[in-house]
Amino acid sequence: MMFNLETAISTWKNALKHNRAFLPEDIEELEGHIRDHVHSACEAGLSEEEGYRRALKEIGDLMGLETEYKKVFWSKVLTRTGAVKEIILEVKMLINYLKIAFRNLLRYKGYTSINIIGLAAGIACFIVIGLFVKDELSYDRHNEHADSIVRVLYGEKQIYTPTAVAPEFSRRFPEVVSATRIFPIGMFNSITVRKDEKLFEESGFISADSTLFDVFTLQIVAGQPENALNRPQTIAISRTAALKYFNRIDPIGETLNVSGSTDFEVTAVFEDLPSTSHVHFSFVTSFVSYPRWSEREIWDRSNFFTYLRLQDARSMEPLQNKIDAMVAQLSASDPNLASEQFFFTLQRLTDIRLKFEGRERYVFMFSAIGLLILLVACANYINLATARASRRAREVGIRKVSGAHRGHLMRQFFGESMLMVLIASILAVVLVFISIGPLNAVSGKEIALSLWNLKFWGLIVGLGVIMAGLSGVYPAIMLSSYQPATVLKSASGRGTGSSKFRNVLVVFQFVVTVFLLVGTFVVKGQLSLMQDRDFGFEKDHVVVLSMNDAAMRSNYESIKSVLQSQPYVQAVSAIQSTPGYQFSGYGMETEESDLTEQVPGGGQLVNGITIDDDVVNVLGLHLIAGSNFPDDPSYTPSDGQYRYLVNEQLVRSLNWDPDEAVGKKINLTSGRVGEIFGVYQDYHYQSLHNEINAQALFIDPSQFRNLMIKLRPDQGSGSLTASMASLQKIWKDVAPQKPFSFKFLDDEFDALYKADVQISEVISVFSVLAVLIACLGFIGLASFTAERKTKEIGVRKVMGATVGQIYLLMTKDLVLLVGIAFAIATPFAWYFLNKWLENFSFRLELTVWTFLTAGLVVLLIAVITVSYQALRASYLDPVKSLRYE
Amino acid sequence: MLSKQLVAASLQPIVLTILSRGEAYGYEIMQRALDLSNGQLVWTAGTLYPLMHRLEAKGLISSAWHPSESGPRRKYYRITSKGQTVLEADKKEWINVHAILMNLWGPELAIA
Repeated sequence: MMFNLETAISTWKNALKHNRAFLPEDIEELEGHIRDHVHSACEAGLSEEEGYRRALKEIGDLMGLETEYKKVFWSKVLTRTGAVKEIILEVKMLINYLKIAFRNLLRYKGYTSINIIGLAAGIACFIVIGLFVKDELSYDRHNEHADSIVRVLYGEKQIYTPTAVAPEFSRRFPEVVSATRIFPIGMFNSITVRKDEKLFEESGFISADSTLFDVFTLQIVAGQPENALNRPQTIAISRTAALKYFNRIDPIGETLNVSGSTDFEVTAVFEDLPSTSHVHFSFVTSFVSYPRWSEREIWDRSNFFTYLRLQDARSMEPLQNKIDAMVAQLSASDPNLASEQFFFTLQRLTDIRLKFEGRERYVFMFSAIGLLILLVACANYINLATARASRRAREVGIRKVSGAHRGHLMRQFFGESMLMVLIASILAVVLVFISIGPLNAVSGKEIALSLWNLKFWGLIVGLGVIMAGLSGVYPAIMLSSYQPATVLKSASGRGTGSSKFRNVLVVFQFVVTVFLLVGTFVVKGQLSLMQDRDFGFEKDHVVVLSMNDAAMRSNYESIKSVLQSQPYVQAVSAIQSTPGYQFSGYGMETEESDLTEQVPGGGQLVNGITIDDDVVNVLGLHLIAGSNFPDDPSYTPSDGQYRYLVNEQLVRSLNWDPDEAVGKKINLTSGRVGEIFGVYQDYHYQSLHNEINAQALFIDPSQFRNLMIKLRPDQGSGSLTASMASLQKIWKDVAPQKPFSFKFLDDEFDALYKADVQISEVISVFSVLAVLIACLGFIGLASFTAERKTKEIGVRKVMGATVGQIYLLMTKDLVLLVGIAFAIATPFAWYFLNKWLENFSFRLELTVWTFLTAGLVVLLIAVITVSYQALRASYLDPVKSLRYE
Repeated sequence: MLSKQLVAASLQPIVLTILSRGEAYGYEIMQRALDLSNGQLVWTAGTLYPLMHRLEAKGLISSAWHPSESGPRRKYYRITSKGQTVLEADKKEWINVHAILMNLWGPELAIA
């Protein structure tokens, strides 16, 4: 064939025409260049063909040329009119990517919805958990000086400290800027507050030094905080309390009647404490109102919380050393104080919730679950996107042949991930807003969400980018790596397998699933263990009413007889504090030690609660030795004449026999010498978090604060309402000065586990969600596997395989993966759950069965999700599946 | 043949100098450089044209299409006043470098 210069040049031009590195006039210029070259070659006596070849050689290969041209492309374009056109082109390309992405989303509806739901649920869970964690971490942070406030502990754990601590520390140590004592008056026994007709029982009732406002940051609504609490009979109240009693927020100078005895003048109103405060109160009376405490600085009785505001956060260590030195000095000068328990520990305010109250481990638990859920959702996406690669392989091939670069394809696939994540994020935000209310109710938190919170949106955007990055990068790299020659050659358009990586992800998902399930089982198991435990007393059908009132105490016997005469009442008794909340402690001396020891703090520490003779009946305590107190309404205790019931633990700690104990004499500090009448079986007088220690019950009507009424349980339905109505009527007669606000003993006791129950609920909810998200992924994956194996299954069936064999073929890999996951998850779960269980004094034993059950459940879930696809594939008619071969 | 780095570094001042003597099109510039250097300065279209485009984007030269006596139109380049200024600066730099090297080597070595 003859060489034709024009044909050669136009072929060459065509190759460049669609290459965007070259503008049309660049090509024209290069063409001129070639022509000049050929022209001069001809003049030198060479042929046109030789000249053309030399010209091309001089220009160099197209790739090199393109690279060089690309470098100047944008600077060139921007200085010319082509700029707008180029930008339009880029935008058009972007629109094309979006169009393709949307088409793909719409075409594979099942795939899209699985992906979006999975991602949205994952993101929503993560956000909600993030909010929970943030809430926990923000405890007490509302205080301006949060970092330099410390609480003083008596010994290492006791939060009650003596009256002398605050004044002595602030006088002696320059590090202490301000110190305040808080007496939690209403913590265990509610206080009756009255303003004219308004009569309520209040539990958020404390008394504090005037420095309270100096240590803590309280927003003042009305009044002067500096001198609000420096006079006797003054009270500061919260905004809500002000509205409740006075219908206005500035009732300065008005009075509130407390406990039916004293009037307190309102001197300040403060904004309600945020829910993230470890201490809650709505009423603060001035500490100087109680000269019994405020005028005596003593070291040997501990009833008060002490908080110090230090110069700065770093003063804590040196101060602790000085305190240790001071305590040593005190112990040396006063032998009565010297004891192993007599020392003080400083504790940072910000550590109270997280470390002291043990929420740190929940924060950790929640964060871990949130992260796991997010990773499971990402793994889902990666799995599905790469599994689907076979469908996209041909598209990749065509795009590459048409001149798309790997970069373009990566951009395109990454764009699709971004789009998916974007839609999922929007859905997630909606989910979060919908679910935050119910979740607050379950968890007992007060998390508020505002649409205008910029940080919140920042978090969403950041999360979206991370999610898109985590889930989009790998599929983009993988999909864009296909060689057109390979993927276009095979008719099935099957992409190269990356099943190994996919299997790793699936195993990861199973590991998480097993882990969370075991966790849920154990947390639930531990809780039901705690709730179903024999508490040692009967908590049902007992109504508790406050009788923290002098008039009621003196009329107790007559009130009791009125109540007892009611047909629906089984028994009536009075007690200092109800089971679960029995905290008062005494030193105990026995006949063996020194019964007449008058120095407090010596001897053995026992829990001591005052009762009347019917408590044994109301609570159904089991006496294992001796007998209940004799029925003797005229009895009043006096030294030497005290009457005791003691628990088994007390007897055991003294190495006595229960029978031997009866009739022995003990002395509870100080001056309470008396005889043991009976020994009762241990019951849980505090929360199950605490162990049962030695306890003594004794009669002392002056300390009765709660009335317990045991109702007859064998009454018909609807009778409870009638009984309560009748009780209320009686109450109005016998205690007009007290509101009829009753509680049930079982509710009160269960409230002790509210936090545990709430946490377990929340953990269960999220675990189930994580498992569901993982299931979504398995379903999607199974359907793709089935699709890819359609032909293999067809061939096998033709060769005589049975449905059972094919089903086995489809599921055996999965069983293996679950097995591997189980082996990986078990040790992790074992370790972490044992750590968690260490926090309980009565704990669930971890058995192999817990783990096997979780493993089996996961296996079952996996097999069920895959079964539908597997069965469908195995029943498929080979004629249909092999039709196109 | 000169080394690649030196060719690349000297491209701009050589192109600007050629253009300062009158407008020219791409192939012409290349031929002149070849003639001037006795065949030592071998450029390729892949280096020359992108450079021309870059200089144009910087505003050192301008271009215009003129019809040619034989065949299709040609793109002619012309130095701008900004290009002249840059060329003067370039010149000083090169002469400086030259002078330093001469001082270092001395007249005999430089000739040898």
